Amino acid sequence: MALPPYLLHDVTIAVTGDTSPLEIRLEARLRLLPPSTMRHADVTFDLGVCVEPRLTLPRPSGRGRPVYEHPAGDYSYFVETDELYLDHAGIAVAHCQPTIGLTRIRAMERTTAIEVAAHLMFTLPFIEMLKRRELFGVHASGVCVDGRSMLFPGSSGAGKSTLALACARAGMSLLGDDLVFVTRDAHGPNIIGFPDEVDVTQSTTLLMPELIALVPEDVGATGAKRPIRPERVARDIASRCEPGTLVFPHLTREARSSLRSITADEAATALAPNVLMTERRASQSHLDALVDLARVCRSFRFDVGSDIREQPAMLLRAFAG
Amino acid sequence: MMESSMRPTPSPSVLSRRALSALVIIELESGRYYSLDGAGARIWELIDGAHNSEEIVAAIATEFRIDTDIARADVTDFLDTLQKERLLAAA
Repeated sequence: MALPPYLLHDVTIAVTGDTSPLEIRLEARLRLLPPSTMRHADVTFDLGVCVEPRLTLPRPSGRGRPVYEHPAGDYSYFVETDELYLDHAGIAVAHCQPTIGLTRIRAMERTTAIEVAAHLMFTLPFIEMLKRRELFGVHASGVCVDGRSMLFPGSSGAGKSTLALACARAGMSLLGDDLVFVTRDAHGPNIIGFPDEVDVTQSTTLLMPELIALVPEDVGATGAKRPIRPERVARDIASRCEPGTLVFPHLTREARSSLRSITADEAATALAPNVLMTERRASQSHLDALVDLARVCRSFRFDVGSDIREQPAMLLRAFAG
Repeated sequence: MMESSMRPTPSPSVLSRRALSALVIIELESGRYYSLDGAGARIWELIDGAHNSEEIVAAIATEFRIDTDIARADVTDFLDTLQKERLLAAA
């Protein structure tokens, strides 16, 4: 099976390689992107399942510096050769050449390896290759209201997905569950959605039990998170919108949520960790885009309580305010 | 300590961008993030290879209306800190 080329904003994404469970998992992540009519891809993912990923994709020589902290992984960037090399305990390996737009991913044929390959091994090179093409990643979920974004940036476990799901269930258009992109034109930054699968945790289903019926039994979920097709939880999927608000969630044990305004300086500082520590010029452009986004958005800290049914209305009031 | 005739420049592995009053700084080698505001942000902007440290002192004293000796002590301390954090290019 060869997956069709996908289009994200103006970037054509090709997925090549053997028929494999990895391809099926990636298709699940990319399937809502429109097909591209371009004959040549801007970025290509070459996939393979094998017994020894490290032998197929050996670590580049030279000095690498860590770009992502993970106890089971070596996620390094090689300055001299401009390569990204990701090795997750030997079960899944990715080698990315961001300038030419090629990432090769190899994984063992077991569920955990396929999931790591379809997520971390894909996502970090995806962000880096798109960064070189002026699409700057933000680790955030987000919705679109009246053509403007409401983004929830934060690290894993900050409550991004739950907030976006609550807003989508309340009728707002979904931009993405975990990742969105910023692009810039003469008028300033714009938000590009990435309609990935929505990862639902047990804590989310405790707050929104109606989601349990939407979680498929047979999709490759491992452990705490279960993927749901975004169109099953959101009435509309938004591909692009103008910047609106940035809402930084912080989970609390309080019953009631509270929202307070923060400055563009605070928002810009909070967004800075989205920049992968790679090539200098592209990383500077990434930082510029994030700071520009913080400058044009109204920003809030959101202390998230257990009152999930009230949160969308509270956020909408702040959005309209 | 940096000599007054030295013209400090940012390290080539440093990224920076002003938001409103604050500057966001990233050092690519260490992966550290910084946020500077007030005089710190202004000093950083003057670290451009064109100004020597005495010129930076004079600018800070004038712009923040403080005594030159106090500005000199603050700027010197700050440049030392930046050097320790590897945010400045090697002399």
